[in-house]
Amino acid sequence: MSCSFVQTKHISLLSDKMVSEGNMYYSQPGKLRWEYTSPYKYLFIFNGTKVYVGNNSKKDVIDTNTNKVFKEVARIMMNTVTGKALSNTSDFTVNVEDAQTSWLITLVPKKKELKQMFAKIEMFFNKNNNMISELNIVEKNKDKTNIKFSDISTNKTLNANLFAIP
Amino acid sequence: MRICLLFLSLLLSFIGVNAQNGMSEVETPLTERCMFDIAMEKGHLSGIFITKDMDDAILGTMVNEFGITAISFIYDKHSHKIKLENVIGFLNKWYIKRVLKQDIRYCLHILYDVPAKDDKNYIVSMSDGNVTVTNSKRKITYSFSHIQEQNGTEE
Repeated sequence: MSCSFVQTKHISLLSDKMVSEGNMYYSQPGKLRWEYTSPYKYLFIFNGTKVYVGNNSKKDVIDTNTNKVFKEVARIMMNTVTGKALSNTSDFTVNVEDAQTSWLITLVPKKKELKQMFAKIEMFFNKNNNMISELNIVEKNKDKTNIKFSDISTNKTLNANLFAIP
Repeated sequence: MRICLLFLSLLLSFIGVNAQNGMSEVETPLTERCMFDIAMEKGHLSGIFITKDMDDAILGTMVNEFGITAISFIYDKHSHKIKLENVIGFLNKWYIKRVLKQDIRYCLHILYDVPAKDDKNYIVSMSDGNVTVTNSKRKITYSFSHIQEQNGTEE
């Protein structure tokens, strides 16, 4: 699976926003590449127990076995791949609403670690194709990150090098 | 529905990875940005540091690599006081915030020449426009560096 995205972070204190663009690639099981292409390059790769985070000047490879935060992210990711995130409600309270042309799924974190970062996550799924179209991450301080997805492609073979940890 | 769930999984994974390092703010004449890194004994915090220089205050926000606002503050140019508006959960303790306020103020002294007393606890180094301020007493190092533009490669 692959798609493009436009991400906008609204910063309430500065009355300002930051906009970036990039691409996402996903391959089962548990391989994810999230790359920013504009205005700056930045790259995340999830592959097994390794997470790569890097740009021109700084690169890190994190072992999720030794990093609690990244391990939690990876665990949630895998739970949602298998659908457990919807049925196992230990991480989030899940609410589904009819939002005219979309389904709106709202996730409210239950755990302290996630609560420290997010107030809620809103996801909009197009009713026609059940594809995600938009995502909002709302923080406790009212800052909000909006991600709009486009050019969604599924069931295509992706180059394994996309997920290789440099 | 399968695709729906798959996307759900991806998006949840993005919760942790929507780095703002690839972002740019809508430009205004008084807004500046750079990379920051705060290294402590038990970990570090990094991402983008954005400031807005107003007539009577400097507003600042540190957005971490998860895309989450980690620290935001207001520095009052008249009273020379700094107020932390938002601090991410694991730093949101009174004794940490007290140190953060002092350190950020000293960093602003170095970066923006706001008034501050000389303090032997702080060690400052500058290289190629990058600035490092170390609180030697608390063993915390604050680094500020240019953001790499997109004409480079990250791999």
